[in-house]
This record gives sequence, structure tokens and C-alpha cells, in this order.
Amino acid sequence: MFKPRYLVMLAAPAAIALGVWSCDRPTTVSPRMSKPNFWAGGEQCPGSKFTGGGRIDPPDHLDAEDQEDPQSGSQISGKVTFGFNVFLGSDADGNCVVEKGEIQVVHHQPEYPFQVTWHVSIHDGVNSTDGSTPVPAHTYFSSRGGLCVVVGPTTARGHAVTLGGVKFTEQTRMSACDNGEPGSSPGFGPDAFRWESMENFGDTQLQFLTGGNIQAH
Amino acid sequence: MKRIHTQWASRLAALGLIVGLTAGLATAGVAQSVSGRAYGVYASTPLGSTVQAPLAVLPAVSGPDGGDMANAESDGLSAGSALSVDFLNSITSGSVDRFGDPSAAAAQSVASVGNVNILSGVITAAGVIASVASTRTADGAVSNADGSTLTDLVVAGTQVTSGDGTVEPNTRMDLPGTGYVVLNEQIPSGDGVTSSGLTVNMIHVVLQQPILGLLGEVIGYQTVGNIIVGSATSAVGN
Repeated sequence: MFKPRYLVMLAAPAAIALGVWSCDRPTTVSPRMSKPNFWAGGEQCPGSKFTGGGRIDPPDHLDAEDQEDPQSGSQISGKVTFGFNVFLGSDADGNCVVEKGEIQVVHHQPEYPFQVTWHVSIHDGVNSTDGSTPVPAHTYFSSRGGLCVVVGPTTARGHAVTLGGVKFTEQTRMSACDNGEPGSSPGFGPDAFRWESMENFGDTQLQFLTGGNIQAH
Repeated sequence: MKRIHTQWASRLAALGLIVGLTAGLATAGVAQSVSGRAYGVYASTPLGSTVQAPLAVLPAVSGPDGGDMANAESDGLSAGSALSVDFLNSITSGSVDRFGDPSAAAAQSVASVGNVNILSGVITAAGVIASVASTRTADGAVSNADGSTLTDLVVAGTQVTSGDGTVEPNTRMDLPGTGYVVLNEQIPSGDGVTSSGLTVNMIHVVLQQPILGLLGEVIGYQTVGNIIVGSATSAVGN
């Protein structure tokens, strides 16, 4: 026979537990993260997915503290807009690679050739432009406790719009840092982005965003 | 007496169960949603028309693998004498779940256009960038239009920006005999707690014609066309 006190015995602890659990959820997201126990260097992928988009204005907002490598080419200056979405994984040897992703970068130059665009497309773990080359990636923690990703070097399809529609391919590399939310307010930063056109146009260096956002997952 | 106490205890326990379940599920967070779109130009006027182009729309994003990007571009576009532009690029991206936080979501969109010429020189600009970002964390949801600029903008002979510059949101300027233009038009959405969105139209021209009374006097104006250059939208929320 059902006795009311059984309901009390079952429901009360459940209600208390659920209530405590709901109140115990974190109310803020800290932009700072501690390094995971398995962290042993830049070759691993503690983040699995990075998404972002926005704008940088090189060379005005350099994030020299978190730039991993020195400037790799002539300084790209002007306005650069971008968007990307990359999923990371590991290859058979445990190396960090991009499993799939898209990157679009546009350089709005003040002078001839006025606009250059690049696009990187990665499917099934290989660069779609050549159809066979894996795309290396690695991540590292920024000085602000955020997480940065570096994708490449990898082949991008380029388009210099006012050079008579000249299209080309070249080696490129992208770096992006998620240092908190929102990614670009007020003014600029804390998130940062870098684009390296390794054969033709140069290097933006790591720049704080002047618009947009980057998110690590 | 003991039976009455037991009944009340049962009712309280049941109520507690309902409250606990409701609070728990609400705070644990439900699936987030993000949306984004960007386009360079749109025109619907008697002088010429074009659909939103080049249009980038963020595909549906959900689940732990939720993230995507879309882009579109064009070397140049024109719509009769209404407008001509070059170097159009539209990018939008978005994702859910930041650092394992199920309440987190973000979307961001950028539209850029160069060599803008509207209404045969009534409005010109060397470049336009519309940039918006929307983010949601456990602290709330926010959107901004940081990075939105107008380069060397001239409106009806008035130099508005020299070089790359910003203007106050929703700046209206009259275009005598034509209508008016709203610069850096910003249209917010969402409650700022669980949702937030923003559309920015960097140049929005509204073409108007006078409505005449029986004696030929102007008794009002009617809108006969719209031109938008540089539009970006982002939104987060469940």
C-alpha cells in the first residue's frame, strides 16, 4: 500500500538536490583557463573547435606579447576582414590537424591592387585545393589565459581582384586567439587574429580585433 | 493530527520537486541558437533594383559540433543609375558552446564594399565595412557594431568622413528632392539576457516622393524606394 511518507522520502531529497544543483551552476564564464593535466606542449589540441570573424587594422593594434613567431614577411597594413570555422583532431600519429574547416580573409588595401581575398577549404582532413595534403594545427595558451590556434601552413586560393581578376594559390597561415567575451569591445581586443600570406603579400602579425569575435570550444 | 502533517509534507515535497526540476533545467541551459547574414548591396527603386547581394547566410548551427561559416563575394555590381559598387565581400560565422559552457553562443558578420556610387554621385564612398558581433555567456547577451566604418564618405556634397571613419548610430541626413539617408543604421533585437541581435546598415537611402493635395500643396511624402549598402546581422539566443 502506498504511504505518503514514501513520497516525502523520495521527492524531498530529489528536490533539494536539484535545487542545490541549479543554484550551484557557475554564473560567470571566466576568460582564464588553467592548463589541462595532459598539457605537454604546443603540438596537442586542447581545443577542438574555433570559430570567429571580424576585422583587424594592422599594424595599429599589435599583440606582441602573444605572437608566437616573429614577423614572417613584409607588414600587411590597412583593413583586413575575416571569418573562419575550424574543427581540430588528431592524425594516426597523434599530431594535431584540422579535420574540416573554412577560412576567408579579405585585405582591403588603400592602393593598387586594392583588394585581395584568400580562401582555405578543408574537408576530410585534407586541403581541398590540392585534395591530399593534411593541414597542421596547434594551440597554445595566451598570456591572458586565453587559447590560441594556429592553422597551417596550408594552401589558400587567392584572388587579386583588380589585377585583372588574377587568381593564384600560395602557402598561408592563420592564428587566432580567444581571450574573452566580447572579443572586440570596447575599442579593440582582447581577441586577436593574424594572417600570413607566405609567398606574396606578407604578414599582418597578431593584431587585436577592432571588430568581431573569436571563440574556442 | 499526524495524518494532516503527513499530507502537508507530501504536498510540500511535490511542490519542491516541481520547483527543483524547473530551476535545474532552466539553469542548466537549453540548446542555443545563432544566426547571421551579410550582404553588400540591396536596391529596390524605380531607377534600378538588385536583390541582397552577395548574400552570405549562416547555416543552422546546433549541438556540440555546432559551428559554421558562410561567405560570398563579387567583383562588382550595379543597379541602373541607383548604384554601382566594387569589391563586395560578405562573411558570417557562428558557434555554440564555448569552453564547455552550454549557455555560450556567438555569431559575427562582416560585409565590405568598395567604390560606392549611389544615385549618380549623390553619395560616394571609397569603402564601407559593416561589422557586427553577438555573444551570449552566463552573464547575459550583448551585441555590438565595432569595426563598422565608412571611408571618404561624401553625402550631397558634404564630406562626412575623411579616411576611415565612424559616424554616430542612426545619423540621418536629408537628400533634397530625393528623400533621406540613414548612416550607420542600427536595429537591435533580443532581451539582453538570454538573447541579443543587431543589424547594421551602413548606408540606407530612402527615396521619397511628395504627396500633393488638391491645390498642389505638399501634404506628405511616400517612400518609393530603398537602397542599402553594407549590411550585417548577427544574433544569439534560445
